[in-house]
Amino acid sequence: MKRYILNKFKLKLCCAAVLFLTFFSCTDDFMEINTNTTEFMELSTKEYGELFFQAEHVGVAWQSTDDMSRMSSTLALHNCGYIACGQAAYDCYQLSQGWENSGFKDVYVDVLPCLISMMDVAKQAGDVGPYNLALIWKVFQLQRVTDVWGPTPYSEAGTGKETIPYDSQKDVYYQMFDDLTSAVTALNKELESDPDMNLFGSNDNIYAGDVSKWVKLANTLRLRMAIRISNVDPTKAQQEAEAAIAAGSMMETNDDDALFTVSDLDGEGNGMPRMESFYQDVMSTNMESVLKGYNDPRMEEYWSPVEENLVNVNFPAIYKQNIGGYHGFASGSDPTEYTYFRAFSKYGPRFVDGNQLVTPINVMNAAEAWFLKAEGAWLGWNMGGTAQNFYEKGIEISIKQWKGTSYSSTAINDYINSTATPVAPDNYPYYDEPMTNIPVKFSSDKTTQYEQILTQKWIALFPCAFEAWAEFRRTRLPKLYPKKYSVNANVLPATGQILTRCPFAKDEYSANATEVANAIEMIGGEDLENVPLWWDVNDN
Amino acid sequence: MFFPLKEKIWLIMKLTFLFTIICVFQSMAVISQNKVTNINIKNAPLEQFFSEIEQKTSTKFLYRYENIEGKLVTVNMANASVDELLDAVLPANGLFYTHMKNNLIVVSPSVPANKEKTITGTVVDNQGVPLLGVNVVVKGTYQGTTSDDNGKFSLVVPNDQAILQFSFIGYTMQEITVGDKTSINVVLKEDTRTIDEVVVTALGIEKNKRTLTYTTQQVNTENLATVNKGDVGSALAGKVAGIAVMTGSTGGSRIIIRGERSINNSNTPLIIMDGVPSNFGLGNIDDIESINVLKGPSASALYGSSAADGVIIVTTKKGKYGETKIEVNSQTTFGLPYLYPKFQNVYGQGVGGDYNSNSEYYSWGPKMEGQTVTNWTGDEIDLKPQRDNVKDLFRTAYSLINNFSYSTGTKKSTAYFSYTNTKGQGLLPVNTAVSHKVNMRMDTELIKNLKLDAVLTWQRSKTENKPTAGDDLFSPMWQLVKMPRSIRTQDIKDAYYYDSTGSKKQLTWAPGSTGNINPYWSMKGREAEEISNNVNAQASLRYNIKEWLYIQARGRMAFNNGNEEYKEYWDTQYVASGKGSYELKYTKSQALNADILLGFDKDLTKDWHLSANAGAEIRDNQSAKIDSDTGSSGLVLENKFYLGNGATVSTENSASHDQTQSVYGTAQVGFRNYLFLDVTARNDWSSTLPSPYDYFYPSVGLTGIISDIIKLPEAISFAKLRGSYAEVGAGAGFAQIFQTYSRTLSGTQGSVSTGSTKVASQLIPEKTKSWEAGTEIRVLKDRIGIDFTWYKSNTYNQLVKVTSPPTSGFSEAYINCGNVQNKGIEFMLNAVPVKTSLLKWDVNVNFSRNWSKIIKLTDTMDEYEIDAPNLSVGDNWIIVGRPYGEILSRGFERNDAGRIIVDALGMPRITTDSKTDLGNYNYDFRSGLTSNIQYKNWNLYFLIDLNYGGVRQSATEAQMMLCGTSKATLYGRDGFVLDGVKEVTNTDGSVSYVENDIQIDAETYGKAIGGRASNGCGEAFNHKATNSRLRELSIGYKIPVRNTVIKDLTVSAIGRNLFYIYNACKWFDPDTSYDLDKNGQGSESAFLPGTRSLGINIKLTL
Repeated sequence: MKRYILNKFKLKLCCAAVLFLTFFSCTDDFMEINTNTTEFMELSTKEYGELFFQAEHVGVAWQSTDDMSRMSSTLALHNCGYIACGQAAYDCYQLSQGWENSGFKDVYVDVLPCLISMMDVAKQAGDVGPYNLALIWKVFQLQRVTDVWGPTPYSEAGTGKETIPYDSQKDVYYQMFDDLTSAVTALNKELESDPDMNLFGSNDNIYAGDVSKWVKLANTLRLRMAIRISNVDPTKAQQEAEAAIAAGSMMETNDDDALFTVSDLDGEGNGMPRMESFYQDVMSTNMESVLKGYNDPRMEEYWSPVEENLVNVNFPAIYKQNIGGYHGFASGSDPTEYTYFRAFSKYGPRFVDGNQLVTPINVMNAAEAWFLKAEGAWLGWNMGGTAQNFYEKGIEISIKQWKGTSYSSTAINDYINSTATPVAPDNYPYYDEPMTNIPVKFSSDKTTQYEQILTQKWIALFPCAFEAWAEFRRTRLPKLYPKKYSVNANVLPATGQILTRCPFAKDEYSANATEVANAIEMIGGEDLENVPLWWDVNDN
Repeated sequence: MFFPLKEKIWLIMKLTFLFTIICVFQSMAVISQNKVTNINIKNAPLEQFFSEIEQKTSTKFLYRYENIEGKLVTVNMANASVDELLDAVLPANGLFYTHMKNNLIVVSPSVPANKEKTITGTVVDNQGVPLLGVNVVVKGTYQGTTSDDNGKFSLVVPNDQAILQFSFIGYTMQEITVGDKTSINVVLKEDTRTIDEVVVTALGIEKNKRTLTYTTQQVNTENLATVNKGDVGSALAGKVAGIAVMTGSTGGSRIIIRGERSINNSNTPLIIMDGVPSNFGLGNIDDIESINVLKGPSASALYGSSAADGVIIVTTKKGKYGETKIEVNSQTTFGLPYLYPKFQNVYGQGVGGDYNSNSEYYSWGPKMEGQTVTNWTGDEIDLKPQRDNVKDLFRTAYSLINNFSYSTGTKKSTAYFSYTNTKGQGLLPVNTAVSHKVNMRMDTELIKNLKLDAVLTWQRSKTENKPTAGDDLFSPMWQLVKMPRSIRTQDIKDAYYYDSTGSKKQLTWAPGSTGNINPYWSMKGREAEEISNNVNAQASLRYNIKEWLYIQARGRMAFNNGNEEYKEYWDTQYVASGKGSYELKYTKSQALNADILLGFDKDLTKDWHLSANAGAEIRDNQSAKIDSDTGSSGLVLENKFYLGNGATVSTENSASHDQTQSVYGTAQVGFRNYLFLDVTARNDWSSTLPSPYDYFYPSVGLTGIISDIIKLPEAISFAKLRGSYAEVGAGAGFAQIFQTYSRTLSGTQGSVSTGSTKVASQLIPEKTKSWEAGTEIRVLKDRIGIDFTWYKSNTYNQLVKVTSPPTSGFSEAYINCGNVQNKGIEFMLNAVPVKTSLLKWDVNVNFSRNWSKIIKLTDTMDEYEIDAPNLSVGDNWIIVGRPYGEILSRGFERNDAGRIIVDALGMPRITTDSKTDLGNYNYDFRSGLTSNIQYKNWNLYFLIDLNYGGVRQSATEAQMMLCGTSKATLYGRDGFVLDGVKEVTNTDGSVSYVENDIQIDAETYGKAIGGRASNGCGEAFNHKATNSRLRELSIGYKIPVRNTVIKDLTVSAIGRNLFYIYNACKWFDPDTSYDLDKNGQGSESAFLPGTRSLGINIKLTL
């Protein structure tokens, strides 16, 4: 009996062992086990909208909630002269490579792959519209990148290769011209058969899918690029500018403003309201001098009067007297001055904290198009009008952008014909002179006209700081106050230097070293922040 | 197959477990009433007779099996009492019985029932010295005593047939039959058989230590348990040659064996608990029987992929056959904070020497000399240094650990039960932790030769407001070190106030500040609660087919549930734009294992011995997480913490699953018990790899007992040489081989984004090849033993996430690459310098030195930044040609003579890139000295360790330098000239240097070099890490209780980290880590103050 039980048990045990061992041939479901169930593996034409939205959303990241302080406040907004940045070191030319690096990555790692994936799918499916909208947004993004770093990958960007070559900035611009040309040509053709063509609908937070507006943006962008290279490559510049005008309409009215809607977002919205409470950005003396001097109606839109608050209530009288008025801080002051930062004007009402998901992000303003045409005309190119007309139209559109389209045309005309000039900003302890002496009224003097066009364009570009910074570097206009203090030995304001670019991204140095070395050769052998870019022919 | 795979494993596990529980409980008859009963058996073994009575009555029998073996009985009685039954059966079989308490009946060979008598005597050693504490027990009973200081004992024995057993650790047990003696004097002989130590090796295979071809180190759990009741990992620090232990700044530990080899993976060893991988660390020290550290791949090759970083084998306690024991362990320890950064107490809030009550974090104000100022509250106060405004926030931490265990065993079954309760409060007044742990282990012989062993553990722990360290709003220490030195505790300690609308608002000197909050608010403005529940059940079934052949099947399942909740109150900048924020996170994980093993162990001939094992295993791990928070828009209604109150709620879920299937075999051939050849082979199939999923790794080792092969001088009692080679592999991570896209909620319709990591185009398994050689020598009758090991390991084909050029469209890419080499030596010495009956002194020394070197990364890359917590200090790198874990940061520009170059303003020039090499975070060598002295009832134990070399970075110091709060900022307040040189460009364009003579001041200097590493100069805050400390100390006294109930009562005073003999880091513990999971280490950032622990430990055995 016992023996029998034991035998039976042995048998069972052997069966169990055999059963057990058979598990080990079960690698059939390994693929299934190793599948990520919370992500997906293939893209189709059904995802165009979501991909495009992602590319747009991340594409405006430099101006959205957290990256706002990183890329905009600490780099562009004060270098273009709009603000003083409360982080004293950055306001005094310190760079933060980590933040710039992450901004660089936003474009190449987040925006570009979405666009390239879209274009791959669209090419396969033969979808002309999605392909070319992605192409326009790609140019918009990479143009902004090349204007910060100089030589950048374009031709092979986003291909996933182990090393990616850098194109010289000239090559980048030439390729962008080609891409915009082909995109506009293709889309115009589509629009011929379907003038109301709409793609992505509400997934397009800029134009709600209106393709004709994208074409206007593309043409304006092409003109922007042409003007940008006008000092270094005038022939190509003129050719592209005139071709852009010929290719169709530019952005004209405020309906064409490229504003990224934030109201349906969750999370990253407009970064400026965030800065308002973060209190890192205040009006610069440049803005104070010009807007006050011109009695500019945009003052109360861009900036707020200084309020008494918990902090400045204890400030010395010389700062406390700012309360109630519009006061700008001298960007690049002595570091100790930043203690009293909160005695200066914060952003205007629409940028008050809480409006992160209310106030749209300015991507490109229609007013810019008029100033671009003004400069083209000033250069003698065929822009279809005179520099003065375009200049005045630009001012009108800009004022309407902020004050509303029903804003009194008399007031606008008074402004346009005003002979008032910028005032002294009354800034203790420097007491600077007025920023410049030009009035709004269009001058007959060619040089003054140029300064007027660029100064008004500068006002109108607000808050598109990256564009304003690029134009300041190209033209050194408006005549911004030099920073009084620099913590960066490579940028010495005393010798007239400004910050002209960012050094190449850290991750590129480590992972794409040879190509970065080539890129450095393209800019003369030193990867410094004082090296002028290709289109910047100024001494620095 | 009838069931899908997963269900199959499940089913087997469930059944096995159920079976175990039923069996164990059955065999441990519960006491009930002693009734009259009927019995009818024929020619049955006597044990069946007993068990019948046991089943039918509340009686329980205790007997020695050899006394009843082979005796058959025939009984047919109705309505008989137990005594009647026994009287009818036992005398005929030469047995008699005695009633004991609780219906226990002791059955013993029949003898005339002599009267009890008292035996007295003395126990001495072979030199005639009396032995204290010798156990004297009447064999087969629980009656016993211990000898006193003079070696004397006195004991009542039941009769002349009683046999006394004399046992004492380190001596051979002796048995003496009482007979007609009334006095017995015994000479105990020293036990010299300690050589044949049995160790638990891979897969739970027990091996004689002398046959091992690699080194392992057994850890003395006794002292470990006395001094360290908390984290077992930290308790291993300083005790084991070749392992490095870091302790978490907020708890936990990180163990690295023989250096880091993996670039991306964890580098931490596999933990095996009772034969199967543990998901929950090392467990509870009071439940641990032994810990064995398998250091090299040779030892661990059989565990396969997860064992490349070594294995720690933990064996938990079991009950013992025929022994019932109750143990109560109680430990109370206090953590006294004493390591603080060095603060200055001269200058107050403000900048440029001027007082400014709104200065957020600057102490560059005026001298605090009692002058009257208006502070931030609007009060006129005397400006005085607030020396204790940092210390005031902290309290004494404590932890109470109480463990109760009960173990018992009958002839066929044992059971062990323990409950551990841990309760503690942290240094932060809001931080508390409670945990409960229940552990049950039972084993039983189901039928002859078939044994079942089962373990069930359950643990629940809850931590409230676990502190945050580092550069964080809610890191109180970070806020404290920045706080101006004139801020008064009384003004801020309330943390909040209610405004006129009844809203809870932060009380702060810097309203609206985004980087600075009241330290008390940083502690109270956020509430965090973490709860985890772990259940682990395992069972093993072993059948001894023959004496030399067995088959074993094991199964295990483990579940973990975690629940985390975070509430952030309104009025903390940067948290959310809404009125507070809320986050809720659930995690769950599950691990299933099953394996089967066939074992063979036999002398083939007189000279040859073979032991071999073959087995198969399956491991399956799954985890899932769901994480919801109210996002950047925060809460709608202020401070109402639930998801429904979120303006928007974002939820993320993720899941992972992997499975490894393996077959393996091992064989050891022994020749004349002095030469052993070991071979192992294992093949794994991992679901994480591309088809065909598999990889293979072998190991081979040879060991010879030289002292048995050739005749060595008398003094050498044992000498052994060993050498081995092994290869281990590793699979990839979950779903790493697929390029994926994800959809996230963002905007009305969400967005689709591409994965930013490029998958490896051709993924091959990682491989570590390792060599090891060593020797073990014992001299002077084993009084001194040394163990020396040399090893070298190279890890190839690592699947590394490398930085991809962002311009490629990917931020990272997986590639197979690299060759990371670790070479090292380990030395262990144990000596017994004094050993008399009254005094025994044991000394253990361990020393290890690891040389790591990155031989190769990729064809195009020769440096790589490893993952490290973002602490605002230097970065962690691996660089070809250098050791693993270099710390790089911004540094001073220096001329060829090494002098700091100053700029035109007299400020030091700081490199723009963060590539100044500051050193390596690993120590050059580690060593530890353990000493244990036993004198009479006293025991003194201590551990001193010495770690030499390495560097640490301090973000706290950098921040304090920026803020002007550290003592270092006192230098040059009124101006100084930096020790450096000016660069002069000569007319011919050449550069020369002249002595610096430009005056600067402390504030300008501090602001330039201090702060985050990205702006400041990390080099200025780098320290050598060399340190030596009295890590552990205990003084125990065994209270001489003469009592039949209490067997042992020991009270110990214990101390941990009592003081540093030397600490190059001065004010912080170089072994503290911010993030234990990251490979990048070596940085300090606002750690809570370092503590010394003092406590008392009581151990009571019944």
